[in-house]
Amino acid sequence: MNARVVGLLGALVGTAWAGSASAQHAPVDAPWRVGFEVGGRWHRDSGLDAFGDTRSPPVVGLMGARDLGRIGDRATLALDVSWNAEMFQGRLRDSLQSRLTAHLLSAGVTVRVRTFWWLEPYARVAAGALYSDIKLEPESGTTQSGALTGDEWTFAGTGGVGVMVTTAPFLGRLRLAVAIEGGYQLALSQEMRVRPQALSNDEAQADRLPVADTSLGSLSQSGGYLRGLVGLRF
Amino acid sequence: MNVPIPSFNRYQGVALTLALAACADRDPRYALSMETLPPVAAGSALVYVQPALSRATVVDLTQDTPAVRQVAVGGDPVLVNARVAHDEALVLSRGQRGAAGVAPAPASLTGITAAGAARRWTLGSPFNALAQNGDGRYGMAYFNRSASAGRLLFNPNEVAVVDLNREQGPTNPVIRTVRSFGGVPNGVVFSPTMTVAGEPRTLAVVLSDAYVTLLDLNHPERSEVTVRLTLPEDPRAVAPAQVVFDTDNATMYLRADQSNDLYVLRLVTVTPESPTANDFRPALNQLAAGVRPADLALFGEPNARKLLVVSPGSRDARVIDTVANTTTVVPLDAVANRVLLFNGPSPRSPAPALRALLYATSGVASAVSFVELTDIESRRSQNVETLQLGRVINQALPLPERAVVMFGHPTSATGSLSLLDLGRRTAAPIFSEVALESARFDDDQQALWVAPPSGERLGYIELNNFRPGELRLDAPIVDVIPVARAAGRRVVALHEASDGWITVVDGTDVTRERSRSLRGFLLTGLLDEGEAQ
Repeated sequence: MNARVVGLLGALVGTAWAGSASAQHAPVDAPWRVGFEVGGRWHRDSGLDAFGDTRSPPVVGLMGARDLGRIGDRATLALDVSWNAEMFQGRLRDSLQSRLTAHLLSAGVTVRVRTFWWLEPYARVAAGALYSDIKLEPESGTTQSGALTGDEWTFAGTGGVGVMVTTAPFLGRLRLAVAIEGGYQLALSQEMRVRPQALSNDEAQADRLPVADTSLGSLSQSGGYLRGLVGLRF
Repeated sequence: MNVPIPSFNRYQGVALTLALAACADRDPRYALSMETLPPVAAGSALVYVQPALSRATVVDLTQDTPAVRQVAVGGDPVLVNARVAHDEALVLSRGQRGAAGVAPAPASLTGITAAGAARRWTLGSPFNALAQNGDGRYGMAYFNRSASAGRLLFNPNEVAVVDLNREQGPTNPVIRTVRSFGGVPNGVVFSPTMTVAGEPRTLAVVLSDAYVTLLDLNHPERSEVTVRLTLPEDPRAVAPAQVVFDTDNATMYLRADQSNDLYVLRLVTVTPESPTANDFRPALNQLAAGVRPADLALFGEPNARKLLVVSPGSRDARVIDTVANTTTVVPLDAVANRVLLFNGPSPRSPAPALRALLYATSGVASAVSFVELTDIESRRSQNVETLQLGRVINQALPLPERAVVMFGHPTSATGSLSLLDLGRRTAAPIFSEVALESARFDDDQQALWVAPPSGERLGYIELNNFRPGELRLDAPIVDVIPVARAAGRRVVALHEASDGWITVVDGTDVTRERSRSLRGFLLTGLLDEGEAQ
């Protein structure tokens, strides 16, 4: 195991048992949290197979949160905003390079329950907008030219549970927070339509013949998710 | 002590579900090829067939905004044809042989309308060729000798006759194996409705080396009639190449490659010996027709039928009186291998009459011959007028309904096309960058459309005044297909794009403002194709 990881775990255990028994349940005075997330979603819609060999590409994102207040002795209510994205990319029907990028912008509410000051299981619900952007491009080497593009917004909500571990402060009030969370993303289906990609030259684009959109059908991006978060509390 | 573990099993099930979802295989349909068979027009729609997907995509151009529909067809489709005289496309599929995980499926024929409605007939054997009769009522599927059947065993003389006006049933289609003298079918032609034994009927004529087979489509239960064109000991491969029907006299005339004779099959009425026997019998006769006759046409009243035959080998035309069995040789100044009968005036006679244009497309003749058919046997060459075009002809696109013929020439300083006015007997040179094989008449034959390979410009010639024009489109054109439309006419230019790209041009107002493109239509419904996991 990596020496840094061992050191971090050691620091966590050390800080956990460093205080007195009553101090074990004292709240962490660090209302703000920013972080980076990585994870994956397990999509069920086989339409996503049009965009690659896997329906579970990596998801990366950023988040920020602020504790709003306490509920009783041990629970804390927090509000967060987050962005994450996943990209599907592959070869479609021997002739096209296909790509779908899905961005989820959401705001959520988290209720954390302090088991120890450093260990907080939590439940989170969030809602927001899911933006999907697709591009279908003829493979290089063919005489065909011009890609098809399309994008669509829809509503998405997530609900999940997780656990967050917080370290002792360092560099003043900074604390390292690590969380792992699993849950389900519910997204309304999107009707994806494509049209030729706009030309970079405005004059040439204006000269183009009118082109009718083509509907590729509906896409649902609902599915289970698992994500890990690493961030700072202060 | 027993330790209860049901809750663990529950979590185990959830975990297993998640793991399976994460590892779901990609739907194989998304890896299949998008290649299409050459599209055809079915009324106001274009029909594309994607063999790997066993699917037809119908682009309905009835409205200003095209509607795209997808229709399942039989497995392994090999060709799509427009149904003659109907707004329907016919897709011939060879079916599936069967493999691990793939159930065998019989060959089939699928009819698809512009509205996307489909009918299907099961054919059984994996035929790879299709012929239709003149009014599109009957289709015959057969084996083309040049293509593999893709099966361990097959009988190349098996045919399936489909009554396209009727649904699939016990007697439709009719599967037959035509009698063979060692050959295989080279092609199939259908007669127009002709009276045989006092009954109007349609015959299918299967052409094979040295023999032909007649099938009575009005009585499919009756046995076929096979007629040898040569003696059994004659080793010549006399391949029937053209059939002309005399519908009033129950007679057909066959021209064959490798033969200087025409074959006359007169269908004589007989009393059938059994319910499956025919009520006619062919009587074979031969007529001398010069050296290697290349084309023939039938004219004259029913009781005085005559054949006009051109034989480039002997540089003449022959008029054969089929009743008197006499032949009149008409010398020609210009060699000819094609006959075009037309009804129209001439510069000396404004009264319409049946006339003939004789020309050659073999690249050796630079003149054409107009023949007055009235009194041709007595006046002979006095009835022939030769028109010099100044350039050799290597292609022809006749349109007798509009009294014009377009000729293609090797590129020269005087233009590579000529529009011949059959009435005035004048030829207008047209400069063109395109070969004539890519030219298409539109549905109401008001204009001729051309598209140079890989060029972005669509050219056209108005046939009422021979005025040419062109329209610039957004992408190189690979083909042009006129389509029928209730209000006005439309022409569709096809562009190269595996996802489908067409431009629909208003044939009555050929401008960019009235043109619309449709792109990506072969991907319609792409995301809904996979099976839900």
